[in-house]
Amino acid sequence: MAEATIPTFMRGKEKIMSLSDAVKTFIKPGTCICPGGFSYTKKPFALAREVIRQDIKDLFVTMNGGASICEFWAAAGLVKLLDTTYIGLEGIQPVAYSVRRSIQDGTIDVEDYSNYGYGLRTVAGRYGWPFAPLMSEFGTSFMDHDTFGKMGLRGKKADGSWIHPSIAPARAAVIEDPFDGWGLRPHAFEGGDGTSNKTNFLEQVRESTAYTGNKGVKVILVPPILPEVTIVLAQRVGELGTTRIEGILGPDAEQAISAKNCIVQTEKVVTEEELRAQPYSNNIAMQYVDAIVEVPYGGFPGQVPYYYDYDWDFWRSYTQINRKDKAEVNAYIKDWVMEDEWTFLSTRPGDGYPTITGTSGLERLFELRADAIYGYKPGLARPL
Amino acid sequence: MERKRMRARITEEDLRLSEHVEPKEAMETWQKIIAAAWDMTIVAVAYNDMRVPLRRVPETLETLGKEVPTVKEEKTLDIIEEEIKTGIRHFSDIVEKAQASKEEMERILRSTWNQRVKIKT
Repeated sequence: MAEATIPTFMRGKEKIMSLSDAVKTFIKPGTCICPGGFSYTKKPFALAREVIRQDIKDLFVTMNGGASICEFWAAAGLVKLLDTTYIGLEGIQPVAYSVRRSIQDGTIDVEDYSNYGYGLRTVAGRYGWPFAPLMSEFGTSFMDHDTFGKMGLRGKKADGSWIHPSIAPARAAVIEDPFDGWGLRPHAFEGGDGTSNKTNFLEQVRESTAYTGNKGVKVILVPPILPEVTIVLAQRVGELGTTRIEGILGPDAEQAISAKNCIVQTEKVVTEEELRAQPYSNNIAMQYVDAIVEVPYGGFPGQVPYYYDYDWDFWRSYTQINRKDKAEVNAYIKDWVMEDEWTFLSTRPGDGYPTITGTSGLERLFELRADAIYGYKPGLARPL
Repeated sequence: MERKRMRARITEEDLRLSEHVEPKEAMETWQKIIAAAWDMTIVAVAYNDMRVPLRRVPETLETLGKEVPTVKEEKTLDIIEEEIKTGIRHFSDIVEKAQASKEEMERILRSTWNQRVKIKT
């Protein structure tokens, strides 16, 4: 059998790659890339750093749940398009400054959905649905904006191919609910609404002629996400790609399965036998995983539940740095990633920013170790 | 052919109707049996998930043990010590609870034997 015809899930241990090879193989200039994790938690930062080292530009970043990776890429000047929900660094910097500045100066063109709307798009991507229905965007200006549409990135070319394979021909569509709101609360059982919802808002919605000109219940349809590459951080991965995520799952499984290719960054590669003891606890099946990269502590400066907590002091310091001149931030981030990951991990943690203990390198990383019972480090100081 | 053989395995003569009997055991007894059986099952299922990594721990510890004499810095020894102490704390807890459970199981086995003898006599 020719190598090219071997299905992904049968490729076996060939999937285990170096950080550098995985990024080189799957991520190119312009790639539509979807980082997993949520906020500071379980973000594949080692892969993100390698993208910066390889200086892969013009990325189309699509993501739910926090901008920590996108912030670094934006600081490094690598992002061109952004399809997202929320660009904050949580309480420490409610709007990630490099992302914000790049949007404001026109370097990044952004399309945004609600967290819920985007979440449904990932569910649609996972199950191969042509779209997902929701109503939560009604009453907002959601339908009035379409950045990618204005840029001419939607639809087909003259030869019938998609203008951008990862951008849907429409941002969203409104239809009349063919089930007349039957599936909504208050529902149709005799005796009326048995739920806590006593607004009877549905009856008002039935009278509205908004969006279609006709009376009746309307539904917004949003397209699935179809990234070229999803990057995920999991605590354990089997040698063939079976992936076990512990702690908050976030959008990882949906985003991984939606993608053409998936790279899993892991704390530890283990035998498949280990993960098959409880197959129902695994989150991504091996056939969806194209590359496995083992990088213990590779989630730094983020948190990996049960293994290590995030480096609050780093983020506190970084959110001062990223407000400096754009060129200065760009130079900082490119220097910060260093030449390879082990050099980075043994040097950068605790380096150049104040910490309570004054430790650095791997010593600092071990200081961030989580309590395996709680999943995080209870004594971690988080001064604002 | 296969289907016929399958059918032939159990004949009408093999099937018996159970006689209706009034329950003799107290419902509370059954509930306590179920509660204990379920708890032991929950642990057995959880153990199944840690069976392989648990087998690996002595190997990785042995490798670390061989590395200790080569350590140059006291700070590194601090880290090793901390990790091992944490490990001992968790594993001691596992061993302690597992030991207590096993002792209780053995006590119940003896107790069921005594009760069996009592019922027969």
